[in-house]
Amino acid sequence: MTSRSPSSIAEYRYIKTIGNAAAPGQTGFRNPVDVALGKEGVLYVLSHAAENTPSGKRVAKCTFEEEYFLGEFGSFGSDDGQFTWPNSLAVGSEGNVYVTDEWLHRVSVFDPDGLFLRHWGSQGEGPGQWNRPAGITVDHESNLLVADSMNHRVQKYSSEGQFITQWGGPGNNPGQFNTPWGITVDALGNVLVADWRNDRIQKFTADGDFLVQIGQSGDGAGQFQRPSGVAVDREGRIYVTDWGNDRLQVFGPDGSFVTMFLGDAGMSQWGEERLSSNPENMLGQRARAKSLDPEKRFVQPTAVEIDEEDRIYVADSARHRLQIYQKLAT
Amino acid sequence: MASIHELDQMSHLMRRAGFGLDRDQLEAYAAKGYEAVVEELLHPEVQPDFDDDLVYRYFPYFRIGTAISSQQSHWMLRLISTKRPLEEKMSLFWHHVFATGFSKVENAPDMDRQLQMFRREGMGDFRTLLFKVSQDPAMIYWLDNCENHKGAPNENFGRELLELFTMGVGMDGTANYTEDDVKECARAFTGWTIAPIIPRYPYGEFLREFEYLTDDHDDSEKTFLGRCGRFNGEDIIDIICGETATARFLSRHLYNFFVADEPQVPAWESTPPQDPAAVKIMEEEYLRSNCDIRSVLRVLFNSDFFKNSRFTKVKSPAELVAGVMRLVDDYTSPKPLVHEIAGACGYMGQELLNPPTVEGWHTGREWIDSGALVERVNFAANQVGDLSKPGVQRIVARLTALGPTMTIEKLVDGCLELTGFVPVSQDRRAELIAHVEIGGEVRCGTPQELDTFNQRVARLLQLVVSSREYQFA
Repeated sequence: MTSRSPSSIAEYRYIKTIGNAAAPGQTGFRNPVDVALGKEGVLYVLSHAAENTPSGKRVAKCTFEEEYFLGEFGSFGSDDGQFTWPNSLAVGSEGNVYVTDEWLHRVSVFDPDGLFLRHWGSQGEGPGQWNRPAGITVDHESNLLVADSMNHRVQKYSSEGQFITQWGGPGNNPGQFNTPWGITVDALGNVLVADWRNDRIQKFTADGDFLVQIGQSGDGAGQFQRPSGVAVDREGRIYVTDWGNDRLQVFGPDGSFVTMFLGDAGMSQWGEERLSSNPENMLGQRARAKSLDPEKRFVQPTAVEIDEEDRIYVADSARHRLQIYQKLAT
Repeated sequence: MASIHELDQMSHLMRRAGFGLDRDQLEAYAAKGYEAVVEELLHPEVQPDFDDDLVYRYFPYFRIGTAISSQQSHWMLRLISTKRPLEEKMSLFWHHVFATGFSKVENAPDMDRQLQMFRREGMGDFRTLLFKVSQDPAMIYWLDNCENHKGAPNENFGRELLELFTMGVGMDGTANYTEDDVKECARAFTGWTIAPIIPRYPYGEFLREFEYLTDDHDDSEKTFLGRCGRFNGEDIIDIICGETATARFLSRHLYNFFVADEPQVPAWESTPPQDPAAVKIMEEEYLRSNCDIRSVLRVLFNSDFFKNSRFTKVKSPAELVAGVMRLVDDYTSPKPLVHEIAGACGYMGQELLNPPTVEGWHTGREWIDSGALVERVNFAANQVGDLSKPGVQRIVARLTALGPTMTIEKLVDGCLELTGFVPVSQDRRAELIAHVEIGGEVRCGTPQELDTFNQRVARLLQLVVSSREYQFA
């Protein structure tokens, strides 16, 4: 059963699911670990997928309306345009798509249609080097912010890949990190980082000055088990994919707990198509299932994104789909 | 500083109770003392657990993978890098005894959950383990207990519970149970089933759940092994666990897995153990300790029969692969393409989580045929011949530290020692020496000499792991 605080139950509504555990060549995703919003309603969804299905590692272009064949790009490997351990993606102000790769220690850049443009980065500890770059986002000045996970820091780059600044370091004091993952920028330009192994969210000014932290280890309300993704809505509410607890948590601008979601997935359009391909078997099995509730729940939700219409997209990674909620006007 | 004898003995313990160690780790363990290390192995909770968070981050498809290769890869990472080697070794042991196969179960997360159960319960009370096995959804599906109904029993699980999991068909020339016992056992487990689940499409696998259906359970009186009562499955487990036949059968399984190769299980009825006294010691400890696996293992590892059993067992493919990877120190943390390492086991005849039958794999010399041997040798030789591997570099560094020049014999003996005190025959040692002699004097004092030396060590290591003796643990 979805858990929500009584005071906020009316503020959100589950609206739909997009997804299907797709084999290569099929419509859908395979372990989607991130979603980014492109121009004209395009969604870029990054599938991590297994290494023994090479074409599974890809970025798919689709829409909220579940149009799929707008394009796919990427595959498993280390050549130009390929991914080994793709972690996150972001869309720049020019519409280009930036994808981090934790194994190859690089960011690959594609044009809006998925044409490979360039990549940059090398493994190391120095400024401009990376050790497993993870979360990536674009700030209000079109710069890129990257969670440099195994260097336990945040680095800022120009959209051309020129190093600008960095902050952080290993540890669990304010301003330090342990293997950070997701990163985002709020309406004021502040930077929020999912400090994955410290089980907290940290908030910084645009220059990297520490402001506040949210959460601690645990499975209670407001606590985290390896938070992986973070997003902020127009009113400053903070959304966190609580990866290890299989849920999405919502906090107020001051960091106070608001509510949580355990998942509400329904059948996606692509899912319906899949079921109709073998109705006797799959629909029959669904009819016999003791409960369909487990199907609704998040499993390893990894990233969260919010569009201009206050729709909240959650990359429900182990279930190969996006679950989408609507924040209602109050 | 541990003596060579102590290092050799620790190497033996860690090969059998784990998957081997490199020399640095071996020295650290030997410094603790043999019995202290045994206790540490028996209490894995004193060591950090495997870092599944990082694994799931880099391999998100391991958590609910549809393909069994995901779970095989996950397990292989654990075998290679666990800091709780006996916990993982016991998981492998129970997977061998309670052999359950993906080929029929067709639900990779169910297989993984069974493995997690072996990890949790594998060194505790055998009764508890057996109870968990009997309620394990993968097992229930594998042995058709979901088809075992009141009034229409299916004997598959009940039969294997007695024949392969606990008592064995017979011992000392007599049968351990009758056909009627099998039927009564099956009736006791009616109603132990699994709930229907959501299909894997379009959102991936869902775990099956155990379900007890009271209405489908045959609650009438049963006669089992001479006792009468309205037995349920749990009562049957209690009776079985207290039987001397179970004590002996389990002890023989442990002997076969940890000490020395026995004939295949179906032959046990008519073939006495090669060391009846050893099996008897474990059997008595099982009964004395009230079915405590940890107590039996303690007796086993501290016994002379174990300590004197060096290199008498053929390594299983999983032991060979994990042992080689530990030696070369690769995949000791998450790394791409681990499915290829896990897959190597399959090519050698042991596809993890997918044994050929409920009888498990045939062990000992049956691990070896011409095809499997080629796979084993090629795999091991490719790994130890790769000078970029950290473990190989450390072997070279240790040998280099012996001095700028050394005798050929010293180099050969050093390689044998650093690969686990491999006890090659005099003829084999002479062959290795003859091979090194082709390259002339052994020198490593200058950069040029060192480069050649590195290549010669890598080649020598390849020959060592290609030897007959290296196939044994």
